[in-house]
Amino acid sequence: MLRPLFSSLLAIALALSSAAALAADATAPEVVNPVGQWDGYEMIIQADVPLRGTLRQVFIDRASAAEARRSGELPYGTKIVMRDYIGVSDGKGGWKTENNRLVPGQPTVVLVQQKERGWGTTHPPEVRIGEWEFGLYTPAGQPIKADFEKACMPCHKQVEATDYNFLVTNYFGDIAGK
Amino acid sequence: MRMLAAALLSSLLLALAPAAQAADVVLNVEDGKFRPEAAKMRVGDRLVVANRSENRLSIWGHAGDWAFDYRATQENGWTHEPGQSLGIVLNIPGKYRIGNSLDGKMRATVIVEQ
Repeated sequence: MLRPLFSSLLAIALALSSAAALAADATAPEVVNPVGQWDGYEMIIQADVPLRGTLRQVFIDRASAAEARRSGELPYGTKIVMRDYIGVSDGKGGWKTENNRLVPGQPTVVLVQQKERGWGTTHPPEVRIGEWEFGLYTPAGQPIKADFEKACMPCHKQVEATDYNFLVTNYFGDIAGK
Repeated sequence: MRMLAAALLSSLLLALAPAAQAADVVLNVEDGKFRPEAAKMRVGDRLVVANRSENRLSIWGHAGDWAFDYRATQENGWTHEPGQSLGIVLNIPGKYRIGNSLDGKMRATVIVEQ
């Protein structure tokens, strides 16, 4: 009498756990939150938007940077971190520069692009960008919800040849002579 | 005496000669390509990208540790409407890759010399 009941309960439990696993699989993995961990990163590129006075400072975790300088490629574990700012006004209708680069003023967002083995499987193939995932944070480190499949991936899909990023692979490729 | 006068006149003419003017270098976008696909300019010249196509563009450039793009409004998805021309003065020498985020096949190379 107990055995059929136990079997039924076991079947229900298995079904529920499978459903939970599927649900978990449908959620993209979370990238690191770099805010407050800046010692682990180095800045490699500043990307200016001079016509509207915003800028982006591009960082990469130090371990991946060391590997990329040797190989010209971004290894698993790479964390590209982009810190966006509004530029400082020059008081004459333009934007203040130092060394011909915009000067960062108020920070706006922190964007992360991270590559890990096996990531990316939750995205449809037409937008999936290899094993990369994105994350967005406030300057204080609070997560911001965003639809990365619409906001980021379609453009990054265009640059598969440079590992789905626009600047960083080229930067290290030039250093490594690739 | 004549040589001295000639030297003075020559110096005066050099001093009055206008400094080299900054120039516009134009990359046109048509048929899914930059035209020309390679260009040279001097530091202080302005790189103008003119959209001669029917599509929106998202144009960026990169050399070494500096990059730029042509976003001019709060819109992040593109830089150029069809028919629009935008220019940026380049003050950092280098060999720039120029691309379009909305079409990964489009490429140009612009060398900015000191």
